[in-house]
Amino acid sequence: MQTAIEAVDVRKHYPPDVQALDGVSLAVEAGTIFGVLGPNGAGKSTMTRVLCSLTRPDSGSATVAGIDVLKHPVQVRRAIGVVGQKHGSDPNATGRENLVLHGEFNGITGRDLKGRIASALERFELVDAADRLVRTYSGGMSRRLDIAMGLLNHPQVLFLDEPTTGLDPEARTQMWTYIERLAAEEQMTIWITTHYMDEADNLALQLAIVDRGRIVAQGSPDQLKRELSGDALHVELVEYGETGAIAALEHVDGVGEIELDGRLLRARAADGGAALPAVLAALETQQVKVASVKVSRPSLDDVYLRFAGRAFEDADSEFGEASA
Amino acid sequence: MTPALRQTWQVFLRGTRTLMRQPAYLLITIVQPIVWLLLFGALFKSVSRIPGFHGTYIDFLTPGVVVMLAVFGAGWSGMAFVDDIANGVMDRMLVTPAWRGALNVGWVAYEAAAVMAQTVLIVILALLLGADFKGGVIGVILMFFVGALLASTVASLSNAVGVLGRQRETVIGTVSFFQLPLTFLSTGMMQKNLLPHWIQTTAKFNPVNWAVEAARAAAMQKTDWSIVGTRVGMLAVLAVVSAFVASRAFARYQRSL
Repeated sequence: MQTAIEAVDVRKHYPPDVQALDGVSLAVEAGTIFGVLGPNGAGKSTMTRVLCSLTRPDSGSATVAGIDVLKHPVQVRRAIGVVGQKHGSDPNATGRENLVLHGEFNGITGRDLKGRIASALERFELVDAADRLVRTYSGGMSRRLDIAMGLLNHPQVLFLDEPTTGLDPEARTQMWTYIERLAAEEQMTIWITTHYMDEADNLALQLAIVDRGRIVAQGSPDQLKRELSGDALHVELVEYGETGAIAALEHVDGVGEIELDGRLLRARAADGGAALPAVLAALETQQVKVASVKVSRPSLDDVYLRFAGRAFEDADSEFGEASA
Repeated sequence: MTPALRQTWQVFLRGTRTLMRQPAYLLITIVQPIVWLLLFGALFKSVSRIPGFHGTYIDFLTPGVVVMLAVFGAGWSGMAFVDDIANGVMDRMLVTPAWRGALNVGWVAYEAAAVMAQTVLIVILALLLGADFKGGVIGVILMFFVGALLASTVASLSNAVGVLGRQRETVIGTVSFFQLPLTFLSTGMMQKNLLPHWIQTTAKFNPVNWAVEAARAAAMQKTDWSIVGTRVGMLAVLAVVSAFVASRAFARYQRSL
């Protein structure tokens, strides 16, 4: 396997007391889509900034496209395209002007630049909007322009930091199509951070789940799900605080990891469907009333819960809006 | 052209385009120097009747207004960087292999050019009001150069404030704190021997005053090369130092990411 991105024990601390990266090591195979999934504040953006040479870690090392990021940042910048979390295009310039400026900043000039801009506009369906000011663009158009800018220098590695945050569902799906096509047609390595489970599940061949500056799990989405023992059982109870429910399930064969969270009783079973009658019977014996029952194949939500030790949504809202 | 020059040129173009696309702002930029020259000319007209004042007030005031334009126009330069940081444009540029200095130098060049364009209007209006440019064409060109040098210094420092403060209010507060005192602690409006003694002393250390003296000595008198030479020299050093300060501010911004 050829490695496109490698990081070894990367740490970064922001004063006064934020340990944004707490020893991140990873390797990304060339030509794949690598997803980095985590709640706000997990360290996804900081890791992206380190790899893009935008910021230096306190310790650790990293290579991108085989180039040492800390020793040769300028060479790394030649080999990468970056689409940041914020837009990165000048709202008071036209799409074409943004592309020209970005091309020139990448050392692309003259006829070569013109040709690249024309095909970028075509590819991202921005031909008609090319000479309009970016502030008149829709969210999806503006995001497409960002990606067109990021691809202008024909990068080996493309970094996308939360590329679909804030887009409407239709624009998101469209963006996924573009990203998949890029990976398939250009054999480009794509690093994509996201805090959407479905996005990671749909796009990423390999996935790193991050929480509090650490990678808590790494593998393909399927591998990660398989590692969880079996199916998830979600039983919604009628009453709050039915502690008897836990005791009831502990006696059912093949059911484990039982947790009660308000009215929601969670458990895992090797075969959810087969365990269900016994679970319901046990609850009835304890006179616990059931409102609804759901058996589901493991999702990335469950994977996250298992490896990070807390529910994804809780982690996300705990951090609030001040994303890093 | 080298890539660094090309990139600087692109940033310059961007500044110019932004100005051209804001008709209201463009109009104010054009009208402002005219208003200043007419307003201050009328307000302080009787200054020329004070015993000890030499020459006409319009001759005296014209270089002062040119220098004021540099201080006030270029002062807001840093606002652009506050917006660029907020929009992600800054980070976007920093992940390219471009020459880092292009961002500051290109924008500074745009601010200096804007001040020179305003100076053209001032010179035309001053001629209409009967000003006598005794320094001739070369003296007037030198006055343009002095205005551009001071504008460069002011723009670099404003950019540094914008990049470090990252908030419009920080730029507005800092810049407006300095603008008026620096302008009035100079001989821009009032002849030196009519200023209080402590202001005469303070003015010696005020770059705005260096610029006023250089512009006046170049354009309005038979050019006094020793005054022009020393003042332009000091202003040039200051412009370079300010560009260095701005580049340190950019580096500091990047370290904070």
